[in-house]
Amino acid sequence: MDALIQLTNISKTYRVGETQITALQGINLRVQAGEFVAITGPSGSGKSTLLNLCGLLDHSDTGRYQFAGQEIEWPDTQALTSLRRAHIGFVFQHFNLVPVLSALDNVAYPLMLGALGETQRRAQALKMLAQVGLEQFSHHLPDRLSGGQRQRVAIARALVKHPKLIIADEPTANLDTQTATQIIDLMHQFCAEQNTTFLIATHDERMVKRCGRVLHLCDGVLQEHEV
Amino acid sequence: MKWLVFAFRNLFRNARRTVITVTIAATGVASILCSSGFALYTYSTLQEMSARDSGHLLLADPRYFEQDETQPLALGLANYAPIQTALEQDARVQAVLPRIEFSGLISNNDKSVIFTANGVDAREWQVKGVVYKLLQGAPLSTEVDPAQDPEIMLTRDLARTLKAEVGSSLTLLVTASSGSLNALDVQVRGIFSTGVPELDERFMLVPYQTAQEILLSDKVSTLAVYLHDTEQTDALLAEVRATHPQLGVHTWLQEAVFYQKVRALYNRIFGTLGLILIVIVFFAVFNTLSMAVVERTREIGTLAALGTYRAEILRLFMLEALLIGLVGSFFGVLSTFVTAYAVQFSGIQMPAPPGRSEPYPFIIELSLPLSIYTCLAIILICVLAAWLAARRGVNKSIVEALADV
Repeated sequence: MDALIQLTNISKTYRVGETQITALQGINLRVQAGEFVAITGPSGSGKSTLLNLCGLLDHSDTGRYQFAGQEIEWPDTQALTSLRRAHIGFVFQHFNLVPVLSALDNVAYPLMLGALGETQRRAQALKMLAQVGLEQFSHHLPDRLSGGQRQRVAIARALVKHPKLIIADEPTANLDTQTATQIIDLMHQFCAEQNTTFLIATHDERMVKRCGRVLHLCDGVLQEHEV
Repeated sequence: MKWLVFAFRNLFRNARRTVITVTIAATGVASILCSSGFALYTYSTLQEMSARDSGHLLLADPRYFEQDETQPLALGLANYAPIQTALEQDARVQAVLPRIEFSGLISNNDKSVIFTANGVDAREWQVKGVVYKLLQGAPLSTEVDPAQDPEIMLTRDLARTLKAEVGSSLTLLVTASSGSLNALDVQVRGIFSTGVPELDERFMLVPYQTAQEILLSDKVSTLAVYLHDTEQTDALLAEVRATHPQLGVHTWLQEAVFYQKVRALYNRIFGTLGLILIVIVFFAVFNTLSMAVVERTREIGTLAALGTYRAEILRLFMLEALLIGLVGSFFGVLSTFVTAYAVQFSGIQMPAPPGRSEPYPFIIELSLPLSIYTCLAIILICVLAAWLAARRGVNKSIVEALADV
């Protein structure tokens, strides 16, 4: 069976002024559909870079990337945007909700990029908001929601189009324990129910303990930890 | 939610800044419409005055428009009556009036001064309307009384030079068409102003029959065709040229040198003004959208990460500018209407233009096509400014945009 993510010998370097920084070197990774994968490692180890590559936001210097059996080629940004639009959802550490849109409109936004009509979009977004327990907050703007509620809206936004892959960068970093636990439960639930693959960069031990697979990055080199 | 709604909501992120930008766009629209509305009023007034002054069409011997006459009426029209009668049958024609241009000396027995005169049909005063301003007395009589001296109408300064009043007797001395000198006693019927100081010093009107009498000729210089509607000029011109190929025909526009000069001058002045205003609106919108792009860099990254094409993000900013342009245009047109009516009712007078002696009312003409073109130009400029402002932000790499604080 084809893996959802297949990275082969991926390397990435950055240049900051005169200094060249190796963010990733010789990464080989295979992630199957429905896996719940944590990527851990100290700051600067390359977690975000790896997520950006997997999420088609950035490109590697060397190596091959196959997403859902499809060879990824830079710099065809139009095609990559289409792939993200159809198959990838994002959950950010700082939620990144659009402040002028209500919770409902934020969740409906990815659907607005598709072909669904207004009524269907709203119904689907409302259903997703109900699944994250925020149905009654649908018309609230993000600044009237708590941190946990905002992250739940962000998760609903990422999941509403039923993507194959969710990329989450430190999704519980700004949340208290109780809220973080709720968020982790929610992500697990969707992983199990919809067979969605989660790729999560995290420092949060609570999250790591709940992941089926943990990858550790150190100085751009990937090591797999047994759970 | 649709893109337009999204764009509309974005305008309220920084409401004060949006209001200022909309106000600048509205001021730009209103300024362009008010200044060009005033120019339009001036054009239409001058156009009508020029057409009424010369006649919409001027019919003459073809050589009359090209050469100077060696003797009065040497290039005049003989046997003009059938042409006059035929043209007056046309429903579009208000009147066809004979006119004789001549010059000579006018004397009050103590003093003689040079004059230029138009021998006119008495109806011409009525047909011309407000071109000349009657100051004393009355226009020329439609019926000529053979028992009395022929009538003339003097311009203001000529009457003052001759110390003439209504009823004064004067003597005209001219070179007749045969080359001999001829004299005629006349009586002042009225005193008027042409509105042109140079003309007011030496111009007068006499009945064309009197002019023919003193010039010893039955010709006229021209036939002036007056229409009910100036717009019909070109259509009738073509017909007259076809039916009377022996005649030279000029339109009022060819005779209206002052009108053409004023129009050229105003076009440059108001064109430059409009251009400056458009540049100001462009920079105001560009500044607003540039700030919005910088402030929303991370959001641009987020939208791109979620699968929004760059063109769609660019379109979002352009829609915001479109809304700014639309609202600005609406308020600009609205304030132009208010200003135009306020100005009309206040009765403000503009000083007399160069070469004229009479002030004229300050009126802003409201024009639907002009309003549409101005609004479209401002909206287009807003959208262009947004495109330029947003292009850089949208082309930033997503990773960089997401890392923006």
